[in-house]
Amino acid sequence: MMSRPDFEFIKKLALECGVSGNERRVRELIKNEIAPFCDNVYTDSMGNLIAIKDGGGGEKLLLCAAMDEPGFIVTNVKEGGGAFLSFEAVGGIKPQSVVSEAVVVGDNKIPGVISVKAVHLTTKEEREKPVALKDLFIDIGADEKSDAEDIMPGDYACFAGAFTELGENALCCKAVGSRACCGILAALLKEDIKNSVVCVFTAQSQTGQRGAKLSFGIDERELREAVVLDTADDERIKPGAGAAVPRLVGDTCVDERTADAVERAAGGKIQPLANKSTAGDVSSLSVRGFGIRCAELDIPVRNKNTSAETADRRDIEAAYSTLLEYVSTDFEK
Amino acid sequence: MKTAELLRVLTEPRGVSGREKCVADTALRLLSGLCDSAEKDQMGSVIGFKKGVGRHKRKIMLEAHMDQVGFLITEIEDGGLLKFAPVGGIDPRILPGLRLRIFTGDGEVPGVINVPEKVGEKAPEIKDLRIFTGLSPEQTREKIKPGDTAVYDYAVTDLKRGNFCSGAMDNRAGMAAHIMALEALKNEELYDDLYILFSTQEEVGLRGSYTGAFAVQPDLAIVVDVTHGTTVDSEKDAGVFDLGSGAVIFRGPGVDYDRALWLIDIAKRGGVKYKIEAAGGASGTTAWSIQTSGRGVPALLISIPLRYMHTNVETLKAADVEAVAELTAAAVREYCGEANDDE
Repeated sequence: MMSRPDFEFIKKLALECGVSGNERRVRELIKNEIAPFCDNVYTDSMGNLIAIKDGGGGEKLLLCAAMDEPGFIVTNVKEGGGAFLSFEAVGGIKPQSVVSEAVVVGDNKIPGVISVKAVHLTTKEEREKPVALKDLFIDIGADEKSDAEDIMPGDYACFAGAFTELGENALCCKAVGSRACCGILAALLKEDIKNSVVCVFTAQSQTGQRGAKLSFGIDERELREAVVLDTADDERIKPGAGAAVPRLVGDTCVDERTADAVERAAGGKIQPLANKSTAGDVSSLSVRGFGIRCAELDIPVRNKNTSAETADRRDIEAAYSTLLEYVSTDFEK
Repeated sequence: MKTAELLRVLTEPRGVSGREKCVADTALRLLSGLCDSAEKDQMGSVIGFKKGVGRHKRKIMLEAHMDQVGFLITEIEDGGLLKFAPVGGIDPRILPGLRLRIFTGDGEVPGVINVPEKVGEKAPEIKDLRIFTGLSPEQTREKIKPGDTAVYDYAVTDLKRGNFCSGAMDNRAGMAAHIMALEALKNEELYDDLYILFSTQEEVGLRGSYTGAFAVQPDLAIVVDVTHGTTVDSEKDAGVFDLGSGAVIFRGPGVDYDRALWLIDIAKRGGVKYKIEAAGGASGTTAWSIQTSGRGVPALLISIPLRYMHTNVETLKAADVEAVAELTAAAVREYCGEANDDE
């Protein structure tokens, strides 16, 4: 295949904030990118972005990728030696990765940091104890409560985001894996495809695959099947060696026929992965309405759900080629 | 130069203890317009000199260490991941997920500290962590050698209320205060000789300050370093100061008793905002080593409150740096004023 995903767009997506429940900025970026190439683009009540492209023949296929990322939500302001924001996690935040991270708070992206007191002031016992999120605060440099007046409980905070290319192929940034998935779907929509595709950029995948529970305004009986593009941090699959098509996602058995079709589209160039331990949008999608035949295509990532998530350019390209081949398939009716 | 700008200029060069060359170069450049001469000593420390005009002049030395904490690459694993050790005191809990810059003989390589998937009862130790560079094992061996240093990737971030966040504020903020004091004194003829020592290897045992202070052998040393700024988890600790406290003046065996009172008096008279920090033992700063250098040096310690010391997000208030600079300049003037040409 000559065409490839647009890595500049993926970088832009990865750097933008889209914590679960507040995906607006990411959604706008995607919408502006794909709208000229689609027949219909709309947003539903949950914030899912639905893009429809009629192929003029063939089958109707559903493709999904999650827009949201894990982050934080401000719960209160604590005064004493300055004013600090208490917060809760939104989505799959890993407490061990949060200390000494830069964040941006609220829609105006006020910079802040999360860290712990100086090593000099800690005891050995304290240093050996894993950090708990309840003991951490966001420091925006507020000297007193009134300095934080422009922040309300319920405002989101997001990893500040820094994009680093490591070696020849690794990309390191918060949310880089899931945004690469979004970037792949966006690039696919620019192609001429004979099957009809419905691409859904889902909201709130991090809070229980909630966006994927909605109907998207689509009658699932019109769909042949669905493929969810996602990431996997399973150690059995290696970054740089291609995507994977797991047969079990969390507790959800994927549909064999769809999974086989995706594997065929990959020309057998996939990494074997029988099961993925965490749930994904397929878990919601497969039992939605009358049910949809679903499979999942996973890009290997490391440091998943941290500010330092890494994905491999080659796997992103491989997943793109596979999906392009898949949506170009002459399906038997 | 504005304080924020000076902090940006001074925190940008990376100088892990023992590899301070690029910081020294920046320091030499900044001192060139402010001193009569400036040079490096055997340990890599920078010593600037501003000649006094007096007949019976003494020597005042302003000191701040210029090294920063960081890491040493210790081993390259078969798969290309790097093992590393800390240089200076570092809390391992801050490390998972941090971006690093690795300095090799062949340029710079970016890396990231991988996040351990499973965390049990105990937080991961540094020996359990690995750096991922994205290089193949062969490329890694070609580029990176055990003994190469690494530092946090960071940039100065403006927070609210004139608070700033960056790596290496410890102790580039101290250097900044001295540079600002020198700027204030630039057009003044001082009675006494003024020396500036930016010392190396403080974080690994105050080492550069031994030789630097010995070379100068001052009659009074004013050391500027950082002290702990209040955070939620340190609010109840002793020896912790709110950002905005101004200059924190140290009292205890680590400094000269009478001169510390003298300095407090100068702050009072000059209307410089200050707080007092007292400790019964080592201050953990170069004031401690300078005191016992050569025939002995009366030393003073002024500190800047700093949150999250030794992390990539060290946070301070610019106004505190300015207060320290103001107090230091006032102390230099006062000291010169003690001179008596009729002796």
